[in-house]
Amino acid sequence: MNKLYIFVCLSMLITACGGGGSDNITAVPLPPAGEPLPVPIQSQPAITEFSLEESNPKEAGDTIGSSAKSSHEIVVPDGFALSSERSFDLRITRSQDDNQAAYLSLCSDYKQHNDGSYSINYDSCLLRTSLSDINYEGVIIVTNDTAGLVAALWFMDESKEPLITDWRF
Amino acid sequence: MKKSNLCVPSDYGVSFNVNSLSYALIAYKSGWLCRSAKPINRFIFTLLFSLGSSLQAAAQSLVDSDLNNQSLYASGYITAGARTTVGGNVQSATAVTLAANAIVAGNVEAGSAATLGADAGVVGYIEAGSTVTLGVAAIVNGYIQAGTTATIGASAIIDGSVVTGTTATFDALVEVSGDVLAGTTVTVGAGSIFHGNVDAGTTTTIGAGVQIDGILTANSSLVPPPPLLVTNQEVLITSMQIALKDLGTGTELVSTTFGVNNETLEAGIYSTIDYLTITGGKTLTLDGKGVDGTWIFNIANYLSFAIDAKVILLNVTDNSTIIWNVMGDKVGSAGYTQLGAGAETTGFILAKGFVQTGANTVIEGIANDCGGAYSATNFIEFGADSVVGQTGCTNGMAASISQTIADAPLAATLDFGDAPASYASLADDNGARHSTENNAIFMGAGVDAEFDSYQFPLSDDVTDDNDDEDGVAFVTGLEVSNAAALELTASTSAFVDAWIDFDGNGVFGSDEKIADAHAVIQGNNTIFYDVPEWAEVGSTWARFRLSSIGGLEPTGSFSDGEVEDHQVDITELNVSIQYYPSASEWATIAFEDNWPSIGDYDFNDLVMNYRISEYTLNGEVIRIKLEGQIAAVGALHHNGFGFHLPGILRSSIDENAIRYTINDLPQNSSPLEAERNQAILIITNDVWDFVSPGESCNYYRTEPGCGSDIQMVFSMTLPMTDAIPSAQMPEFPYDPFLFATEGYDHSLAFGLPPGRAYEIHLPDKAPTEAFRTDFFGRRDDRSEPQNGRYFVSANGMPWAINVGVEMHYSLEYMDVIYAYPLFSSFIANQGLVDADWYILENANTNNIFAN
Repeated sequence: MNKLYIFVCLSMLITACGGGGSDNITAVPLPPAGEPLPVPIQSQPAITEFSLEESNPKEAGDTIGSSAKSSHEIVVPDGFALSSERSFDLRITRSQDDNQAAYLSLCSDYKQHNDGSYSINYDSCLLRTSLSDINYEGVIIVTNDTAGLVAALWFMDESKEPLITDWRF
Repeated sequence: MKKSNLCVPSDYGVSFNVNSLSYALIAYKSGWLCRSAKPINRFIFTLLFSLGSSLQAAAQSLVDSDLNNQSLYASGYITAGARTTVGGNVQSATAVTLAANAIVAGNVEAGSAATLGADAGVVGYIEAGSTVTLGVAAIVNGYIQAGTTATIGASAIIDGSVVTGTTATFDALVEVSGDVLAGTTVTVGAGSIFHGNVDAGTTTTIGAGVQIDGILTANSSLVPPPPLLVTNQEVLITSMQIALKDLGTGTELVSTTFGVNNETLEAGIYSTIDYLTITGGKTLTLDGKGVDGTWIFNIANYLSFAIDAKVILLNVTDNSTIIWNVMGDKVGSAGYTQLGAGAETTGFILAKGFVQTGANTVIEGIANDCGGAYSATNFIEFGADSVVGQTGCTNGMAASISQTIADAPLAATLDFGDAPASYASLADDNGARHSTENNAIFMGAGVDAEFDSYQFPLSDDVTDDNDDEDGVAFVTGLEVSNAAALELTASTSAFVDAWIDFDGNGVFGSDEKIADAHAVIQGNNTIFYDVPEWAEVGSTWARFRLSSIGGLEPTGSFSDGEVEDHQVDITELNVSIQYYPSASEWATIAFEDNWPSIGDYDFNDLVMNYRISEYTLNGEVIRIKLEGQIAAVGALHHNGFGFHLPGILRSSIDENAIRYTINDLPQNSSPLEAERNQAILIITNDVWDFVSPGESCNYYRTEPGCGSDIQMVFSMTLPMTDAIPSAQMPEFPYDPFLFATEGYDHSLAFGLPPGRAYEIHLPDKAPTEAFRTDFFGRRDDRSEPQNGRYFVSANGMPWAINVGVEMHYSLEYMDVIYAYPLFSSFIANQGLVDADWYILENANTNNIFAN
């Protein structure tokens, strides 16, 4: 397939938090310590929020060594079906000033450059969808080899830059 | 200048003792001891004379030179760290130093001194312009010729002759199989043994208990040969580097980003305008696709493989070539090469400057070739425990590089599109084409040239080493009656004309033009367009033409610019598409087909690659698409393959609207299995109907040397009769399964051929209604249907595994644990560790099938 990389300039209103199996991403500043938390915003937030969380994360225990010299010696723990994928809950909550037609792509092959911009291979997407509603919620099946995901939200308003954020697993 | 035939005036005659290893390099000639000229490949001579450009002339010079026969050459010194092994020959215009226990399996030639540490070894001969020094217990299987002195450490063993310009000094307990000739003195320590003659120009000093089987002669009339002169090869290496650079810049690799992550490159010419670095622990996979290929890396600054960075060969044939051409022609560049500790690479390194490695590094050739490193102006240093070519390898530099240049085709000068014939792509059809001569107008990273259009599905972007359809990204989907956007990357300010075949009639109509002489600037340009309400849902083509003037038609030639054709998918308005594992990659399901008995766990009895696309509208699935290919059949059993959609009724699928193709040919029969309540899609009732093993092969793509192209690909679009709420759809990857072909025996566990009643599913996936449930529990199967346990053994091992990539499966009979050593850890830790055990970077590449 063609490798469609595109260099996308983005004023980095949103930053990605690295590490971990999933990240909650928001640019809403936290209040100073000691001050009461603001009343939760029930409607749209000030800034579009992207959230990707593993649906049923397992607790990591101590790593167990395996002494199996062949597959005949392997004993599979009860209940483990050798699954090669995990499911994630993807949520996008769009900002107060954003009710325009938009298109979302969630892709696995991308690079982030030093200036914060991204190159995205849109042939590597796991999800492509119009956003006809303010919010998006969906379950994404991600195979274990996936090193990270990038979400790109493009607007049909020619004056509006796309919003892009990513998660590294 | 070193003569190609070096002869020693000798009375040694038949008594001169040379061992079999050095014999190949030494010939008797009328009482003269001669080192023969280097063998020259007549084929290459013939080939090169038939060409005749400056490039070939440079290659000819290489064939004729001493450099031809070396796997390491430096105009400066060469040192090898402790325990380092060099498979081929070593030559330095100055000194060669081998640390303790280092081994050179070929010959050593040093313009000045050659020094071996304790227990170091040279399998061939040693020739040095000045001194030769052997440490304690060092071993030389060939002869030693020193321009001045030879100093041999205690207990050293020399299985050839020793010839020195001045003195030869042997410590105690040395053993020499051949003759000794020293220009002046010979001094022998106690207990040494000489099986030949010992001649000294002036004096001999013999210690106690020395054994000399031949004649001991002081004031000998024999004259040692003149000292070795090694030709400095800077000019030749530089000319080779320029010749390689003249083959073209190919694809530019961006220094700052390339190698930061794992990379894969098909054969081709690659260049950097600065350095080339592979980050620590990262891999560069060179994917040969099973055909002879050449990788040339023209690097303007330095080449660096950081700690544990590795070059991995995938499906690279023995006749392929890899050349790292470290030009160092960037201003201020030294043109050096460095390998961090544990780094591994393959091929020939031609470096303007030094080559230096840490400990435990590897430089190897392809197949039996030595590979090697060549420094035009400076030194080569290898850290301890490194490997440079395997012992017994062939010094193949000249043949490989000459062949590379000879194979360079005449340059094409036109860029063609690659859409199917109806869109007019071929020159004969007045296809869209742009001259690439002196052209600076293109989309994406570059433009390549072809002699004619390579049309889908055999686009040159797929079949050759360069995908130049890289300048347009469809950043939104294409939905009927909706706006859409794309990003076009232009090399410079220019004009674009673009079409999308919205109605799918196979031509680009005037009402399908989405950009008309649209001005773009250098860099990224967002272009918005509308998908008309009359657009047809399904796969279609788009064409983009960038040029200096714009206003082009979808056909015809132009003097600059580029044409790019892209296959696109048009959907209904507001449709979501979810893909498994992604829109363009394959997942893999691999079977052991010996169920209900445990097999050999090579998991290649049937290997299928596939992907799933699920189309959703308003929270309901309206259509799914299954695509795939038969990757391997490593069993003689006759098996079918299908997909079961758990929880979905057969009647939910609009059977009359199914589109099913095999190898792009529409299939007349419905893949929806008849007389079932469940939705079961039969891809094929017998995979052997579509694939065949290679000549002298038992299986399809599982045995060494039994590679072939993929012989069966399928695509199936399944519209729903009534849309299915997403919550009712089975989770990816649904339920792909194997079944037995009717009429063929499968296992003694069943007596009669079980046919469709026999199925193998992924662990804990329930069988379809066609399965005979009394098969459960036979032989090694320990399914517990009442507990939701299916198709597992007493150890819980499955008969099928599923992974998220196009898996490089095990060779025939090779337990998957030997191909993927992390497999057992993944299982022991229930997937919390080594969850990506199946990716190529985690494979033992010796044990996976290479096409």
